[in-house]
Amino acid sequence: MTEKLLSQYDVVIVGGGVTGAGVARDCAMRGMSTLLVESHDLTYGTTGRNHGLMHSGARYAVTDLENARECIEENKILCRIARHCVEPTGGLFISLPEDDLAYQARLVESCHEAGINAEVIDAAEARRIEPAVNPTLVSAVLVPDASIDPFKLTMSNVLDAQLHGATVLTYHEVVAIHRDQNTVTAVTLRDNLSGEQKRVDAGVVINAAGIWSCLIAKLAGVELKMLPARGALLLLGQRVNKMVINRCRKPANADILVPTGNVCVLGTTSRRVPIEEIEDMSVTVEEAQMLLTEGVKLAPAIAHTRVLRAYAGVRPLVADDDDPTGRNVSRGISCIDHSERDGVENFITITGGKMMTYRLMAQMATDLACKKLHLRRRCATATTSLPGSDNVATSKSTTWHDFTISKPWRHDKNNRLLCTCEGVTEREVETILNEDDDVDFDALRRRTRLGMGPCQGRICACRVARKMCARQGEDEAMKRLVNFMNERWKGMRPVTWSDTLSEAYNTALVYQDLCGVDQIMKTVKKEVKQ
Amino acid sequence: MTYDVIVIGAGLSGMTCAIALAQAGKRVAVLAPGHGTLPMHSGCFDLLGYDSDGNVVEHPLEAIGHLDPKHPYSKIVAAHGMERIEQLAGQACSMINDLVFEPQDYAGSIASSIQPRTITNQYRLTPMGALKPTWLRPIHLTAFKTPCLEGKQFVVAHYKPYIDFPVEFLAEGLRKAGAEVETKELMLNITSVGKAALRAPVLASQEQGEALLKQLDGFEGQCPVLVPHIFGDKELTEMNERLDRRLSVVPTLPPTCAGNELSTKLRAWFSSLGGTLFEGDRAMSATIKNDRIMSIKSSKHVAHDLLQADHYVIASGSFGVKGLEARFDRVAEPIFDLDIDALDDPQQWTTSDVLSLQPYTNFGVRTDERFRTSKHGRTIENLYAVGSILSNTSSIKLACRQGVSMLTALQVANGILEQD
Repeated sequence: MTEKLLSQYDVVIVGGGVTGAGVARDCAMRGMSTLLVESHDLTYGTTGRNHGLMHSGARYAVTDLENARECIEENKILCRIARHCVEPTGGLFISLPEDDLAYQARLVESCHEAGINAEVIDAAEARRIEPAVNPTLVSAVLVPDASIDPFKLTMSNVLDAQLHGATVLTYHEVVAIHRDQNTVTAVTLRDNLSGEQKRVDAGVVINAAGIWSCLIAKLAGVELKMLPARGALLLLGQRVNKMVINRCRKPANADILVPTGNVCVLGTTSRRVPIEEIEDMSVTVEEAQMLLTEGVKLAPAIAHTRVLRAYAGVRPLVADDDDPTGRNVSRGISCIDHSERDGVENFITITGGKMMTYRLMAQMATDLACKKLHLRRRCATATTSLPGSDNVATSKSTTWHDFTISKPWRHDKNNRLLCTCEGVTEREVETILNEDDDVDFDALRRRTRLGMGPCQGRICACRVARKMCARQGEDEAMKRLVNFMNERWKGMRPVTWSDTLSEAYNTALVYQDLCGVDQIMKTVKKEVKQ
Repeated sequence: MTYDVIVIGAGLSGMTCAIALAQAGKRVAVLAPGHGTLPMHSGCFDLLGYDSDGNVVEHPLEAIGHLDPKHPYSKIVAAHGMERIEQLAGQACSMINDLVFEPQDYAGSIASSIQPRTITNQYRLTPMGALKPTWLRPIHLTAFKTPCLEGKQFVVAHYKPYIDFPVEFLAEGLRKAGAEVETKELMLNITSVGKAALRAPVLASQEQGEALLKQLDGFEGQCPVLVPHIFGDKELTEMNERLDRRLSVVPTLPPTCAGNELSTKLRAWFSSLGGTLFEGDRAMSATIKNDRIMSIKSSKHVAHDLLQADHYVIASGSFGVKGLEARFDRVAEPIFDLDIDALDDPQQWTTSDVLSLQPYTNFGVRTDERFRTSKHGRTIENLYAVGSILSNTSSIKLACRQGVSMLTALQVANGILEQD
């Protein structure tokens, strides 16, 4: 996404995850001239690497009542403004024989206190409404959990921001934040593809860079201590369950199973990692096996379900400012006004929180930005539907945003499928490629789910690479194809059992034995060296 | 039901073994749950394309002597000498001749009387434009004597609605090899088969020869024309007779036309020899007594209708077709639970670069010098393994898949025949 760049904006938002997208929408809707910059692609970070659970808040009710209240409030709002991103599956908190029923009682009580509907049902009823659930369960709590598509949610927010005049730049990294005395006045952006740099004046800079927030803060001369917690998840090849299944116990590993699209996601683990390791998204064989061993207790069918891949995300938790040891996590949303905290004016960091509360986080950050710019405009994001929520786009749509919103569009005649697993059409891919030269396989994947199905790109990768040849040249297209294969392989390696290894072997037969891609790469690499 | 030999698997190795045995008068049954990896067959036959360092091999039969001692070829050499490999290669060569060459399209490079030792590798053009060393090629397929195409000219014709022929990469590959390339679009009237992408074998069944001929006549110049392999051998032979220039095909992405045709021909040949083929039948388990297989249970033969034979051959392939299965804690052969050569630690099964040699591709069934399998360390006297299910084939890296399949199958067939 490369758009015309002005030399000055009211707000510059750093980070193209769901939070940044939400802030951009809010700012643009309140009439500020808005620039959103993302160093990679939209949803590159934790937004694209979670389980897509739309919390009812029940998960936090026992430990953090305020957090739970925020969750259920936002849950209700998203059900109104982002209907196309939400699948109201409902959720169960199941108690197995080894689980403490006293915890169930506490959960129900806390839920009621937080305003969350929570109803205890017996084992027979639970099995009736969710046949996949572990049949040995004692009883369950029915809550309004749901499944949400983080990609679609982010894209819809970005689209609405653009419709309200915002500029969105992907593959642009903030490399410097300029200060005049103690006031932030401008940022320098680097185009990560061309290397070109440009300076943009900013009224306010909002740091919504998720786990990378501390690095952005550093550019403004501000110390921010993050406590990254890495979570591993498994993507299962089919939809085992129709409702979200949670384990009714203190939060532990592998106690959530979320149905999403044609697949379901089993999560998660939680491990503190040093800040240097936040780019490492690999999952170990042990983590994957542990997730499965525990996950089977939620729904036994998991044992016979193919694991498509393993992936990990990093939760952007902030260290509590009141705690001198820097080891305690600040709960909930952190909306930091750096003029109060560090004496740096016109710089705001918005982090912590959850995907669920992205809108509220955006509202808090935008309120603060308004105050700094002396604007008196009210937030309307809670009452204004996102594009796509009220009506689906028609076949006349021409931008990729419409495709992400409108699945029915795909059923147009004479529109061949490139990715047969996920039903991605030729026109969809061509439109996205035509809009933007810099779209690589991974960006296509995030927009269309291309290559995310059972064959993990074996059938569609070559077809899409062909489409890239005209613009990028054969060598570049070939390199992107191999990068994509490596990216898919990274997620498959921790779970190389059964069908996953079978697919990997067939992919090797097609691309190496039959096509000789490994031989071609030798010459491509050689030319690069020369 | 009782047979002399039961072969499990109907890919290249299983069918080769079954045909060789049936030719010698054995009563043979084949359990054919599918077509193995034939749908990914390029059409050419690789014997040994690269050595273990990845260098191109010019004389495959000479290079076989330098392979790792654990490689199936090396086992044959160790037990019977190089002469046996040459003899098997000659046998495979004449089988391939009978299978894929009509007498009139005989290329001149392959004769049943020829010494296999003198056959040097050619370079087959892959769908994505690589030039890979190969041993034998059917006449219509595109291959070259050298990987350098300096001074040569080609027209690459493609059919746009067929998306699994990556003409851009193909043309670029030829250019990189030094050739001048022009791409042209073919206009064919092929009925759409719905929204799914057209598949090669579907196109092959349509009679498009005339339309194609007319267009090819219209192309200016006299350089060779390369077309996607979406036409059957028959149509290609006709077309080549009428065009005075050479028309040759390049394989498409799977399912390939060559694989489809080869599979059909193998089955037809086997049937014509009186063999029994159980289509869609999958072997499930076996009764083993005194280190011998007594009978086999399959998806279509259970209870009082178990399959029995004097000898059994397992040719059920590698991971891709589930002849081997990766489980949480180990790699297993799912029908008999045979002894396996594999690494214990799942972390060591793979490496991070997807294109580098993946250790798991070398896993397979453990066999003795006669390719007999074993279970719990005890040799099963009458169960042999052939083809990709064998361990240490390195077939993707060495480009020896068809060679390993056919030579081990023929070796085992000969072994069974020698015994009786």
